[in-house]
Amino acid sequence: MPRAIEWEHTVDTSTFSAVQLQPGVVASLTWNALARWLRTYLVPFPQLIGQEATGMVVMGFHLEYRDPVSFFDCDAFRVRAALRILRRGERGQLDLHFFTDRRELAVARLILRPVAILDPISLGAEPAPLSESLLARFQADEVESASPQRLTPARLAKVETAGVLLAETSTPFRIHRHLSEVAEQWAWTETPALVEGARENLALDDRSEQKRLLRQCLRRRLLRFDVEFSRPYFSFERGEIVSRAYLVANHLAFVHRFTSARGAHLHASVVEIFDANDESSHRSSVYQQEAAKIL
Amino acid sequence: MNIVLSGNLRRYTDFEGEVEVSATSVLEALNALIQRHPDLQPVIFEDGGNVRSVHRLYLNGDVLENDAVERPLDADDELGILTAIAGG
Repeated sequence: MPRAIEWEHTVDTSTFSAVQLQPGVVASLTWNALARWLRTYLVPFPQLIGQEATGMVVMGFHLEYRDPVSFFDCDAFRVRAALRILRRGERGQLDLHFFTDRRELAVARLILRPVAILDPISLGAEPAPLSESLLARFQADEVESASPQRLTPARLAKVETAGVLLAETSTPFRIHRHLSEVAEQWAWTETPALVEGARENLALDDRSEQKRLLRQCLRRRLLRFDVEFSRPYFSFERGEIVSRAYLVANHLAFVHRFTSARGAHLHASVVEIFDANDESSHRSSVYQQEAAKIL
Repeated sequence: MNIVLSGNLRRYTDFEGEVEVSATSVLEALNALIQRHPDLQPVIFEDGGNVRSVHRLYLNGDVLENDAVERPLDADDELGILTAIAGG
């Protein structure tokens, strides 16, 4: 059985939005889970980069929400993550569960590409399979020859072909240091937050003829978040998110394409699918009970 | 002409993203850049004088082979240096 790490994460008020567990929190915990797994079973992240000259580039992230769980439903939840190496060292796949004793909050998957660091100064790297010495530290059932599934392109095509386009907009941004990681490039974990900003710009646009429909995304649960990364942004680089909202079989869906400032390059593609039903009845009843206690 | 830098390379140019130099070839441009910011020398070039393979050169947005350093440049050309980075 592939080895897993598991820990309890204590909830604070920023762990949840008014609707659900924040996707950005899930992304952050996912990346931290990889660091924990590496530290427990392989080598700590700084040592992996500094001494083993190996990095892990994120190719994709997939999040699926399960039970409706609000801030008032749990004081803490558990995170469980297991890492497998695919394509005999050319890919990694981290599978995660977020759960309590009674509820399953979400599952997530991170697709990784190992890279060999060629230059310790710039942290410049190129794709390369994990070294034999690192591979030898994995259990036999943690190394597979299969390739990871590419989920995002298929979902994106389905939304764009089967969906009815409701609205679109572009949101410029800049990768400041608070959105960056150690190698002066964007931290992929900030993708959900950037996407949320772009999506909410669409929903809050008073000029939109579809604003009532679009504003469902402000009160309904996000069910799925899928992203495939194509190229990084560097710190201080400017970019743009081109967002389109669709209605697909009663589900509100969004496609976001991260491009360079001049639109010349695609950096990432994101698909979001929202719940077809309003979850407010569940949420408000719990909230009212808790609010009654507080007030 | 302009040299456009990104990511870690900006640390060596006091975080300037674009550096204007006078040069008639890619090599001249890179040398002019290094003359202004000497700490970039070991970052951009290997000991043998070749551009490190972790950097990708772009001329007016098109990929340039790293050994195409003799390529002539015009005054309005833009040379980009992009570094493949290890990380998330």
